[in-house]
Amino acid sequence: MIKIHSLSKKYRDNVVLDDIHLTIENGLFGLLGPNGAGKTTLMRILATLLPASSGTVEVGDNSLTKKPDIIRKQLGYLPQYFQIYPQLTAIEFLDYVGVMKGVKKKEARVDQIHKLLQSVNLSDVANKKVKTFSGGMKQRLGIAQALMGDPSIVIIDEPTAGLDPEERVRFRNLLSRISINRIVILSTHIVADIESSCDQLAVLHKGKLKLTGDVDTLRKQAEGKVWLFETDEKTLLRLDERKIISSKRSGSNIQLKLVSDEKPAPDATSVEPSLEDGYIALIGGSHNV
Amino acid sequence: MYKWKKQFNLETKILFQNKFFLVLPLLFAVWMGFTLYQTPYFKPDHIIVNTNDFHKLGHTMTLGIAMLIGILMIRRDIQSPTFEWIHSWPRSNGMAIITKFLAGFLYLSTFTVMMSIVYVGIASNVYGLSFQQYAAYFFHDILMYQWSYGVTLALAMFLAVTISHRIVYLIGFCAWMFGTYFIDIFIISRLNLPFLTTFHLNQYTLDTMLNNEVWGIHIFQKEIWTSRLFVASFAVMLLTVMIMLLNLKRATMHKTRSIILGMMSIVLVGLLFVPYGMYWADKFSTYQVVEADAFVPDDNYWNSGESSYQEIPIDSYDIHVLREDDDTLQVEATLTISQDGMPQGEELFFRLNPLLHLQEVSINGEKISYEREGSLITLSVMSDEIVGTDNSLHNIRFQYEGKIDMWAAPTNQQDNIFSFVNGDYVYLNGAIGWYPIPGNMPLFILNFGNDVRPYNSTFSYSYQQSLSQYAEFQLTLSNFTNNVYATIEAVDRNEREQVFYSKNTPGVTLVGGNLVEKEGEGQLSAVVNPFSKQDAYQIIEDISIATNFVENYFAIDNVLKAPVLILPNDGLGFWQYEAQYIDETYMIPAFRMYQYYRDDQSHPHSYRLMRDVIYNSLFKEFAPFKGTTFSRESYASILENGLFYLFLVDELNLTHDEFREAMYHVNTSYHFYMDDEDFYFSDSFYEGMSHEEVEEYQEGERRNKEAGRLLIETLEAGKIDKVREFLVELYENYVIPQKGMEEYYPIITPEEWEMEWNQVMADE
Repeated sequence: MIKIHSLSKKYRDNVVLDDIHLTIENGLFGLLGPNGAGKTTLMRILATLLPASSGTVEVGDNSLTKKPDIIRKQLGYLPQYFQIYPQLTAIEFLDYVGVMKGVKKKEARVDQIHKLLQSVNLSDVANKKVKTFSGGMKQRLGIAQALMGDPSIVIIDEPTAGLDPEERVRFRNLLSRISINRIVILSTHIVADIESSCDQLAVLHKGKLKLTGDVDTLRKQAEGKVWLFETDEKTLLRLDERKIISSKRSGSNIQLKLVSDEKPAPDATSVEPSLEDGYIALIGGSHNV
Repeated sequence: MYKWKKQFNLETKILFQNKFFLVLPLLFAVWMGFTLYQTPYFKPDHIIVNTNDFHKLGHTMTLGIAMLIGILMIRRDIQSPTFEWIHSWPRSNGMAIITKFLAGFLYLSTFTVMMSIVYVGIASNVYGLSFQQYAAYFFHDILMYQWSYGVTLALAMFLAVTISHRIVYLIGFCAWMFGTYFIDIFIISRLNLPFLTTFHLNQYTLDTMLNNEVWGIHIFQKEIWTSRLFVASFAVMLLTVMIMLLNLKRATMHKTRSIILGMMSIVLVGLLFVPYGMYWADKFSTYQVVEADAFVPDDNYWNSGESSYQEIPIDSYDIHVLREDDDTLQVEATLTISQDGMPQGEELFFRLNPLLHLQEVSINGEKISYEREGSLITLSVMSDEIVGTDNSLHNIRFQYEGKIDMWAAPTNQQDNIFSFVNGDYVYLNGAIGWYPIPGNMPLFILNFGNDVRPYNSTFSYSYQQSLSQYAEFQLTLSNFTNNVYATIEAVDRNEREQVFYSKNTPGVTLVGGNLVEKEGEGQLSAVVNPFSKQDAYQIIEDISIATNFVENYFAIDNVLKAPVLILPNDGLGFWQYEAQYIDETYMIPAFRMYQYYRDDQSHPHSYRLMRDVIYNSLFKEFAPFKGTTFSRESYASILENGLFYLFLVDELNLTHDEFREAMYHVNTSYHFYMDDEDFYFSDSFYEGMSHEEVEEYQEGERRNKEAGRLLIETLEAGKIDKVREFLVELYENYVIPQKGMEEYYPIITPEEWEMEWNQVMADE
């Protein structure tokens, strides 16, 4: 269990994280938020890369501030942007990571490497140098390295950004599998990544924690607030675009789906909200049109 | 440990798989091999000197590679934002930095390996040396390479850790240049701050004395090792502090520990600078003693020349020197005073090196009191009391002790070490007063307010000469661990003692070190560094030919009683470019020696050396102006050159073309063949002279040239016997009578010259 208490991060006067309180249990935890919400900062703090300005983080019985070296032994981390030594093959790289993460026995490392390469679908290129890999392949290798050493906490920052749809689906499934006996923190701004697999989630916005709970909690944020109606182009231009979930041309009119506390048009009909609707309602749709 | 091993493997793999870096050591080896294999004509054919010269450029270039890989290794991951994630691993900064350093050091060691292979290959196959002969220099170079790679790599990594911007590459380049050529040329040499040499990245400074094959690395061992100790601690400090800085940026439980270690490493550097600092403090305090003793001339001195000093006639010296194991010299010097020429009614002065502690002075066995101020000893007796009434000779015995390690502040961008006794390595210049020198003429002079020099060097061409007169010398050295050679004859040499003797010498200079004595075919021998054996044989032969020529026609005692000393004199405080007659032998500067031969490779002999020997044999009583003075009042320069031309034609039987080529090489004919209106002296020489005076000078030069040309043409016309007769008569009639008259050159007026010429040629 990870307990985050009153965590803040400031860069001079700029508050990036503001008084975050959060408890993360075993399972896949989704950290959702728009760009600039402070997700990566929180990830880096949890990955022991960045000291917090105030507050505490406890991982099990260990304080992250006081015993970061112990916590690193339990960590697997994949940042949003990263490089891998291009001179190494996938196997060499994972072997190196395994050693750094404390997998002493060569047999154990070899076994893990093969399983991980298989799970990220890189077995065929196991002996090829990383410099020949595509962006998606590197991403998958990055995931494999995060899982190397069987860490109890895996932190993955915006992992699906460079993946094609098929890889993304495969990746979500992988995350679901690996989150069975450990904490997996998945930071993303893509709601679909969370929807299919996260047991718990939190939404960060402008450095503040807007919501914690599960998928339903987020979805409920838009309950009774999602409306479907047709309108003309003139009216469309007057609407707050942050609240528009979708717009589809229908003859001379436009069919709109938007989030609003009140009925936006006389002919608007209320519809069942999706997770994305809940997210929009929370982040940008909390006001009347 | 398995993590260290894995990290080290990763770092070495990345470095050694880089084709660019892989090929560099091979290119370096080819470059070094090519440089050493093809010695240019102007350089000595000498492995120690040439490898050292190569290192000054070659090794310094490889430090640039050290700087580059040091920065690259840090910027590759530790300082790269896209590699920040690896800090989330349980991998310590200490391990990362140290394994990077070791991998870089291993890579850089391949340059050392290449250097070693080329060195051994060239030394064995090209120079034919046994490993033992060059092992000390070879291992010294290996250590110099490794030490400088270590500190340069650590510095580069430190820069990359502290400067995250890519401008660090430019700063690294500047650090490389600053730490090598800039600090050498503009700080150490120009500002005379030799103690900063330890901050030079590889210490192959341009004017280093470490390439001195006789003394170099041996007499600097203390400096070398105290410097290495400091440099090693400095490199460790850089590594420790950069680990500390990285730990301060990263969440870790070891922050306090790394701060303590970082601070301790800084303190360690300070502590280990102490031995090096003490070494230099000793040198400077020694220098200050000598400087305080030096004569400070005023402008008048430089204008008017030397002053007059008391002269005490000495019949003989009997000196016993006992060297103690710590190089302290215990000396007893007994001087027998001659009755003739004793000053009347004066206090008696002697000079003794101020670094030597005078313990006792006695006259005829009775202790007398004395006063000592620096080098000046003033006896409490007057000269009349010494002479006495019975006309018997009196003995003055000086008993003194001390260490001689006379470093003088560097001048002319070079170390000056006037004298030293350092175990097997000895250089005791007669002029520095290691034995009592009669009179009160200073031992040292503050040269134009800049630096201290032996006093003689300011007006004497051969300052090694210590006395202004000749005396009998008996010198006994005890407990010297190596053969010591002298400018006088060695009469006995056994395990306990080495005895030297001269019936009549103006002084004695001692040398010992990496030297061997090589016998020539005749009586002559040469003391030379083992590496220069072949050159020594050639030198001995050339000196023999030249001395035989002189002995055939002139009645002068020309036998060399001591072996010719072929020494690398650079940095020994005197600037000697040609063979010099010192006391009872020739001293030949080893570096310049090669120029004798390289300039005229087409001929088996060294014309320059032979010319010097002829000049020294016949004119050593005069300042050796060597044919460059177009005096209005003397044709001495034509005589000097004429004798050499005669030698070329008469003794060496050169053809017309060979003769002209030889003159060209030695350059003595140049002035005679200058255009009549192209004058030897520049316009500045004539400044302040009236038009008439200038005319007079220039007319003198014209006549001088004309007489020179006539002599050469007569020789070339085959009238060798006539020219010889003319020159011999001129020498006997005008030069010999003027010896001892303290002239700078013999006076042979144009009228006298013409009269002799006409007389000899008229007999045809």
